[in-house]
Formats: sequence, C-alpha cells, structure tokens
Amino acid sequence: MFHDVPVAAWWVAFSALSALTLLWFRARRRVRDRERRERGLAEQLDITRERLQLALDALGAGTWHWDLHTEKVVWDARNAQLFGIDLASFRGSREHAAEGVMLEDVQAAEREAARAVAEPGTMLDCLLRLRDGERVLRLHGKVVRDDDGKATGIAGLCHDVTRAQKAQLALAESEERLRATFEQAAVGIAHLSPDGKWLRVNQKVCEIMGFEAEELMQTSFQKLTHPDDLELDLGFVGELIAGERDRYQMEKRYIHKGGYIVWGSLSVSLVRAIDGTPKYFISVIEDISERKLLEAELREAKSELEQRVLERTAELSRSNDDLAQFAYVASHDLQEPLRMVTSYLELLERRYTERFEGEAREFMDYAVDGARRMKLLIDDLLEYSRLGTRPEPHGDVDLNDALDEACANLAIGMRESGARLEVGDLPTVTGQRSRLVSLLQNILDNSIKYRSDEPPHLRVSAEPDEKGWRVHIQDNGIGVEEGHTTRIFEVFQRLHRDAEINGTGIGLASAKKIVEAHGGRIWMSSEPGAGSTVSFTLMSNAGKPSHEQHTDPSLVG
Amino acid sequence: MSSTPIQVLLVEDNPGDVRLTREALRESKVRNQLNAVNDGEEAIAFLRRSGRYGEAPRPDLILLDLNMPRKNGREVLAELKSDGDFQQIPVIVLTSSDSERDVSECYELNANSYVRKPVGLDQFFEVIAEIERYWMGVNRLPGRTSNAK
Repeated sequence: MFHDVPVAAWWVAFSALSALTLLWFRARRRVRDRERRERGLAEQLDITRERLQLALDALGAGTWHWDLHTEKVVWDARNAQLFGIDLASFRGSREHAAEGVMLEDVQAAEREAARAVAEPGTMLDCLLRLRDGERVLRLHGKVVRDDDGKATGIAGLCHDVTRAQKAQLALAESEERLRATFEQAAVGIAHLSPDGKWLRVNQKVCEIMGFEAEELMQTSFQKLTHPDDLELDLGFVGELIAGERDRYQMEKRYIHKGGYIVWGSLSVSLVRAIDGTPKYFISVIEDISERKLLEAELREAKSELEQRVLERTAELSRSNDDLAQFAYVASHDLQEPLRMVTSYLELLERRYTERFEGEAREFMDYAVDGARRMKLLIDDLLEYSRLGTRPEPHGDVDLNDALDEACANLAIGMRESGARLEVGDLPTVTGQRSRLVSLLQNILDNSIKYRSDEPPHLRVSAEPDEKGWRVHIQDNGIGVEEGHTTRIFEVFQRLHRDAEINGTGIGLASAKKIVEAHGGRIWMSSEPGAGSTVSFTLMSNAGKPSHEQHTDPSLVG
Repeated sequence: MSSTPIQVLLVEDNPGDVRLTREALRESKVRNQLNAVNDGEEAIAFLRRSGRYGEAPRPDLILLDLNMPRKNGREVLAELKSDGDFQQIPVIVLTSSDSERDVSECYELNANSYVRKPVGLDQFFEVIAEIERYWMGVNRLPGRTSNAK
C-alpha cells in the first residue's frame, strides 16, 4: 500500500498536520486574549505551515477535515481536485463529498470513521473507489479530541493510489497465474536446493514419486534416484554449478515410494542469486515409464522377430541344401539300377528279339520307353540339383555367344523340328556363362518341345531395364492358358501327357532357378494356340545399359 | 592264336556290370581272359595271389570300379600305385560317377584312365570296345613283347 509514497514523507506530513490541527484549534479558542502575548507561537505556526505545504506537495496529497459537531467538511484545493469537484462549488457537506464515490466504499469509510472514533489512539485508513471507475483514493485520518477526550472531528490526508492499486492487482494476478501454472502443469516441476533437497514441488511431482509434498520436503533427489543413474545426474549437477552448462537433460530412473522404478525425462536449470551463488534448481520431470515400457517391448519384439527370421532362414537354407543334396544323391544312385534295367532290356532285345511276339513285343516296348524316360528325368534332375552347387565366377557374358552355344547344343532338335531362329542384337550381361547358356537352352528347348503343328519360329530380343536388360524369347508354339503361366516354372509341373511331348518338367524350373540366382526374375505371357513369350531380367555390369546398346528399333529415336 | 591272352582284372561289385563287361569283351577281336573280383580286398588278394587266388595270373590291365564295399576303388588304386610290383599295371577307372571330384582324385592317385559307364547297352559296348581297341591294341602294355592280334 505504501509502495509509491516514501514513508518518511508520510510521517512528516502526518505529524505536521496533527500538530497544525491542534495548534489551530487552540489558537482559535484563545486567539483574542493571547494574540499579543504569544507572537512567537504564531511565527512557529507559520514555519510549520510552510513545512506542511512542502510535504503535501511532495506527496501530491490533499487535506481534509470533518467537523463532527457541525458536520462540515473542509477541503483544500488538491483534495477537491482528487475528488473531481471544483473547490469553489464544493458545498462542504459529507453528501457532496461522497457523491463521486462508490456507495460501498462510502459505507465502509463511515464504518471505519466510527471505529476510529470509538477506539482512541487508532487511525482511520480506507480506500475510496471513484464512480468514474478509474481512480482509487486513499484516506488517512486522525480523530481530533478535546481536552476531555471527546471526539470533535477527523482530519487527514487523501491521495491518489490508482497506480499502486493497479500494479498490485496485476502482480497478484501474475502470481496467481504462475502459481496455477506451477501447480497444475502436466509435467512435474520442482525447485531443489543446491544440495538436492526438494524445496517446492507441484502435484505432478508428488504423483510421479508417490510421496506427499511434505514427505518430499524431508528428502533429497539423490535418495529417490536409482543408484545406477545417480553418478551421471550428479555429474551434470556439478557442471551446472560450475557454470559449465546452462541446463541439462537426461532420462533417469526414480525409485517410487512403492519401491518400483519410474522412468523420468528430466530437464534441469539453475537459478543464481545476484552475486552468482547458486540459489535453487528448477527441475522439470516427465514420467516416461510407459514410453520406456513400450520401447522395451518393441525392442524385445524386434529382436525376437529377427531371431525368428534368422532361425527360419537357417532352416530354409538347411532344407534347401538338404533338398539339393537329396536330389543329387537320389538321381546319382538311381543311375546304377537304371543302367542295369536299360542295358539288359537292350541285351534282351538284341539277342532275343526274334522270339518276342505280339504282347511280349508290346510289353518290351513299354519297358524300354519307361527306362528311356526315366533316364531323361534323372539327367534333368541331376542338372537341376547341381545348379548353384558349383560356384562359377560372375563375369561379362555376351548373350549372342551364349545363344550360339545353346543352339549348338540343341542342333538336333532344331533341325528335326525345322525351327527358325530370329535374333536381335543381344547385350553383354553379368553372370555365370555356363548357367546362362543353360538358361537359354532350357527355354528354347521348351519352345521346340511344345511347338504347334507349324515349325517353331523363335525370336530372341532384348530391351534395357532399370538395372540391366530384359530378354524376351517368343515362340509360335501351343501356348499356355493364363492360369498356368506361373505354375509352369515349378519343378515337375507339366501341362501335357507324356505321350504327347517328350518333357520332364524340369527345364523351366531350372531356368527360373538360374535367373533368380542371377538376381533377376522370369515370367511368361502367353496366348493359347498363338504362342508364348518367356521374359527374364539380367543385370549388366555397367548398371544402366549404354545408349548405343539400344537395339530394339522401337526403342531408338 | 599263338600268343597268350591278355589278362584283364575287373574289380566290380555289381554282377550285372560284370556280365555286361564279359558280354562286351566276348565280342572282342583281341584274345583276352576276364577275371572278375567283387571288391577291393579280393582285388588285392588276387594280385598278391593270396588265399584262394594262389594260381591267379598277373593281370595286364585292371578295370576298377570306384564304389564298392569293404575296400573301395580309391584305396585299391592308392595301394597298387605305391607298390613297385604293381604300379606298372595300367588301371582304368570304370565307374558310373561323373563327379569332378572323383575324376581329379583318381588322376591324383595315378589312375591311367577314367571312363564313365554309359547308360545304354550300345554305348556301353562301344566304350568297352574302345578300351579294348586302345589299351589292348594301340597301346603297348608293359611286360609283353607285343599285343595279341
């Protein structure tokens, strides 16, 4: 309340006013008979009045007097100005004085006056809010009493406290806001002494730690910190106090009152006194236990998944190896008995053929044919199981050369079927030469086997692809129905009866295995009765094929 | 037919193959005598004329199968080729295996030839005829003044 007025000035003004009032009354009563005798007193009065005026000016205060006998109110000019009334028009009545004041405050002031009168030795002190809604005045008064102690009037000062009043309101509001922010924050906020004692904590801190605020005040953060995190935390505190950092942040474990661990994300800064000595820490603590739990679960799930993938991959790789091994051994060991069957059937045929008649001849033919197909199967199976077992270095392979070699291997079949081959310029790709020959051979062989009534017309072309090349082998064969274009690449998946076509169902499976081992993919598009196109991708060493290698006319220009 | 027949030792556990080889050699132009034993142990006994092979002739040529019980072809090969008495006798490995490893292993053990048994009868006969033509005809065998015609 006194912020804006120097206390000393108040007391000077007040004492002076009191003295003046007393002197004035006495003077008025005795002035006539004492005028001449007390000339010195008048002089003193002048000096006092002068001092009083200076003090009042310094304060910006007005003076007032209320005569309890006459009910007359006397103001000086400044007082009238403070009340917003022209002194010349002031009627000197209590009612007129109270006109511009809020009724509530008028009543409070009257009660205060009555109290001051009733309690000798006390002062009147009250606030008057003016009805203009802007200004607030403060009244200080002292009850004037006669020699018998009977109150005759009240005299005092009035000054404008609007600014102080507003400042105080604003301060209170701001404090309230800060307090609410602190108290109701969704994160824990605490002040801690430089040695770690909890000084002030908000509700959230209590919730996180499980303690009542009072209980927390009895302890320190060190006691609530998990031993494994304490060293790091104290290290940061040391750096903060030493001024090596402004703030620090860490994730740490607190020990809850219930004995279990609570994960907190902690941010700490230090407030220093004006002389620089550490005053208190401001800690913001967020409970991240749930997040930590989820993270741990996620980590666990991830590692479990990785483990499972590893196991599964190992299993698959083992079973792949086992399968390849089995196929190799089986086909290899099947050769022996097959050789016996074939050889002795042929020996029978050679030496006793004239004795075979009718059915015997027919049975013999079936047996010979079965043995022959069995041989084809075993050879193909052996070839398939060997894919990938003999590592051959990858290098640049000119597909033109590979195709020539494949065709040479297929010379008999091509000649017998009257096959015609049309070849575009083929690129150089990266791969294992013998495998790529085998790949082309398998696909061409398939086209020749599954030819239509027309002689095979085979077209081999290539076009650039994202990582290398896309090779197409198109035929005019019997084609494959749409639903079968994927199945056809599975081992032993044949679409035709033995009697019709001399295949084993391994050729395209081998082709697929070779392409995939080269990092490419293979697929078929087909139109039954019109032909099929087998396409596959292969990588090129240069990554992207160079422009000059664009050979398909449709892609140039 | 004045000269002594060429002594061929066939080490083969499969009687079917023994018979086929016998049949093939029967059609041979070269006078030969086929002696067949069932496994490596017997082959060594035959060569050393031990036990019931006391009267066994010294072979001029050995046809050796690889996969046999008791003592396999590789062991027989290793033993023969490190024995001064027998290391001169040409050994032709005759097997159904065409594995690279078997081929190189046999040559490392100083086999004189490696031939894969073909599956068909005609082809088998052809191979035996080829062996006969080269090893008993073209080639000169040690310890014989000239090969029988």
